[in-house]
Amino acid sequence: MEFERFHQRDCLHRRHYRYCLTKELSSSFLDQAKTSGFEVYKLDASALLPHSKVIFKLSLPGNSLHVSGGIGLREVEVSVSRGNPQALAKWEELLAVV
Amino acid sequence: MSFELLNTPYDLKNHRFDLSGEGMVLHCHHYNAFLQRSIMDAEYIDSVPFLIGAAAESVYTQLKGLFQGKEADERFNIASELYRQAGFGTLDFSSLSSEGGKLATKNSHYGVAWNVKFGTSERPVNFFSSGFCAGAYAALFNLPLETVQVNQTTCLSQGKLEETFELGQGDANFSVFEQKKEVVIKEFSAGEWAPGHIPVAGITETVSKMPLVGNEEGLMPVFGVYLTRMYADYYNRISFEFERIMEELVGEGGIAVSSSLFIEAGHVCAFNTFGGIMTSTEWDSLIKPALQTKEDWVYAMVAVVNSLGWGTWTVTNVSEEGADFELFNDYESLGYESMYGVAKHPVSYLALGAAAGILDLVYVGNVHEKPEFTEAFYERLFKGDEAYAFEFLSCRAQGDASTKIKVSKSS
Repeated sequence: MEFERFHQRDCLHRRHYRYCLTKELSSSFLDQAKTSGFEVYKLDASALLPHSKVIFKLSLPGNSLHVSGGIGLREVEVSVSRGNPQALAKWEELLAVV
Repeated sequence: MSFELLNTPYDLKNHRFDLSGEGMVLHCHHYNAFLQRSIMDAEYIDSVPFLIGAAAESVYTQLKGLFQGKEADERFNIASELYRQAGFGTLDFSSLSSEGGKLATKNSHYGVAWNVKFGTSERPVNFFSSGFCAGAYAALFNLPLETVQVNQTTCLSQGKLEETFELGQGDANFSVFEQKKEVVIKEFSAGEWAPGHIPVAGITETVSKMPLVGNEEGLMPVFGVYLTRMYADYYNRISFEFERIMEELVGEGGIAVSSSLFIEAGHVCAFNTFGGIMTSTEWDSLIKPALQTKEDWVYAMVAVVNSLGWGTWTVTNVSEEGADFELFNDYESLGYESMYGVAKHPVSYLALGAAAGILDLVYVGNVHEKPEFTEAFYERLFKGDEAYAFEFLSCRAQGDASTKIKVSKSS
């Protein structure tokens, strides 16, 4: 999947980016993330919020990278520890294979 | 068994997170650092003793309750895990003895927040954690709070790699306050305050159940900020003690100065935390699909506020012209009442600044367009010609049934 990356801000010792994706994220993306070594947290709140989409968080060990997004969205937020280009590269590799 | 902060259920009726008698509220690092800085900027007031004492007071009371019937190992675990899971950083209390000891950490919410927001500090500034250490040490070893001392020797705010605290016995080197009085959570009927198509109760419940706890580093990065689950009465004590001293020094003028600082802190909170929430992917996924108008954004944001532990917020008559907020059992009022009795004037400053901030973000800032949260944007929202005006119509701390705030277009 192709994407555009926008640097949003630096906050404490993390950098925040917003990624605009060329297509909507599907549930199979989360399966791929697990296979690629990301820890996946998922929340389906549709019982309380009927219009809502499933949200997810991905993280890499050691909190080097966090991704927040929703199934059906074409945007995700990423925060990465400063000075950890490997974590960002791993995330972008994941996007490349979905 | 390891301590789990979120095993404590969120009170969805009164919108409170109460752990062993202490209300805990979610706030971000911008608010934490700004509030402390505002107090410390008044250099003619020796604020350090009450900045430390306020934390020691809440932590001591809470841990004494949590430690009931617990073995020593469990007590150390509770103190360390509470600190980490609340998002304050990491501290391992198991190295302490009844004689005291030294605690060191590489992870600190206040130390890093201060450094990033205000640059390198000349001296240690993590007074909250100093107070936490003092309160925990006293509670761990059954010592009266007035018999322990704490000194922070290094701080991440100084650009150091490690933060260190030294603890020992002796006359307290911080303020020790009279025991707070118990306050009654008043019954209320908020009724239906939002349009039917916005599931406000569902929003509150969903967000309140999100696993907002500190990570391995004891930090809680979420919504583009670092959250803490802070003691409501820490904020209350440092704010109202500062105001009390200011009034002692310069009379009514002192109240005017302190209230304007605390209202500004409310703006800072709205700008960063509410702004972060309303531009987050969580908002886009969970909440935005049900929203049709700008007014809906205001109602929905108030529903999210009800998941932060601040008490019950409602808003009615929302339009670009303004809105009417009514708050039941707001934490600032409850804190004032428990510490100082009936107030002579309204005291819900954070609420006042934050309520106006919601309208500023939605109508002036067009937050739905995901603007950049720059300093210039802040200035325009809160200090520009379009900024909303705000006033108290009542306040629970003065004996009223609720705290009412009117937000309206500046004339």
